[in-house]
Amino acid sequence: MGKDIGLTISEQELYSQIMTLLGSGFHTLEEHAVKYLISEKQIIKKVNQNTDFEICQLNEICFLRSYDVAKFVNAYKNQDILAATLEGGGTGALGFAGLPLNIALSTFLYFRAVQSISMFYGYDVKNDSAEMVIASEVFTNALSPKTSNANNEMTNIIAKIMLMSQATAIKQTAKKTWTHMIEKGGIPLLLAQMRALANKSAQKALQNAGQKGLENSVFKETFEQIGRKLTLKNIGKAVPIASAVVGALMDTAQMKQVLTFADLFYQKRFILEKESRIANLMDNKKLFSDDVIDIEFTEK
Amino acid sequence: MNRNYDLPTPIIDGKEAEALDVLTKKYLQLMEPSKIAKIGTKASQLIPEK
Repeated sequence: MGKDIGLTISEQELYSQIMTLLGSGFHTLEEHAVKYLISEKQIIKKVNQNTDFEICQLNEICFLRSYDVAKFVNAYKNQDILAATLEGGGTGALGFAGLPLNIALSTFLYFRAVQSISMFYGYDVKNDSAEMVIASEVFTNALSPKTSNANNEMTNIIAKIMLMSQATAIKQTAKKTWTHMIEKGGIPLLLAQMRALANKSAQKALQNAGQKGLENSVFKETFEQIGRKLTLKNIGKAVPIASAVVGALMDTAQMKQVLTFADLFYQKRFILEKESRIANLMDNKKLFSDDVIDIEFTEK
Repeated sequence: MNRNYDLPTPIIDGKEAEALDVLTKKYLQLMEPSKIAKIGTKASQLIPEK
């Protein structure tokens, strides 16, 4: 039966139905997913209640330890995994009829999950369009990390950041001033390059869609890249009832992978950019001098 | 913004520096082919060529 239903809808048909949904029904998706994007206020409250720090704005999170932020993210992940299971089971139960909505909604939930993780590490996707673009690139890579487009410049930078080890960081930062590092290139340059690429892409999206339509435009563009692969993968969900279980399992597993990838990326970025973010907040006062070693090592 | 911040000292502590390696390791694990994919590859190697 599943095979028959699966055959009645082509991958192309399904893809165009989802694109129509993203065009005219994006508001519906936003309504479904509104509770899954954590707000700046919620994050500030969590930090102030659970740490010795008192922050007033999101970007001040850079003063925290990365492992403390990771604890908040871990607690938050469970909420997103549950949302994916419920959504996958719910729309999956509708079988074929629910398939376009299921794919669009689950993909949008993953997208929002990446944005939330970014917010936890102090990168404001809501008010900074470049951060929205970076989050969408992280999301694309998180969905299929093994097959991401290696020709994409942003994908290459994300992969480089993911592979940056303590040894690389030390080689670049130890006993060197911030200015020196910028002159020499390396980590700050890589991160600045990522921001510049995102800025360029965000400007384009803003021109076409405006601030209000930015998320829709970025999401649609991302979906165009990954959508065809996703529709093919999801076509097996078209059997009612059985698809509720399959849908829930698939969406839960996918959400877990997206959350892990996003957390790894943002946690690393947080550590690598910590000094520059703090320097920016302190009006670039001279934090670093030649005799300061920026990374401390614990003897084992 | 005129706010006095308590600068964390050191800015990046040992645990954070070590986390860079732990996170890299986790990323590499995520990129590894799954067990099913590995079995598939092994099985295809066992099939004799015509």
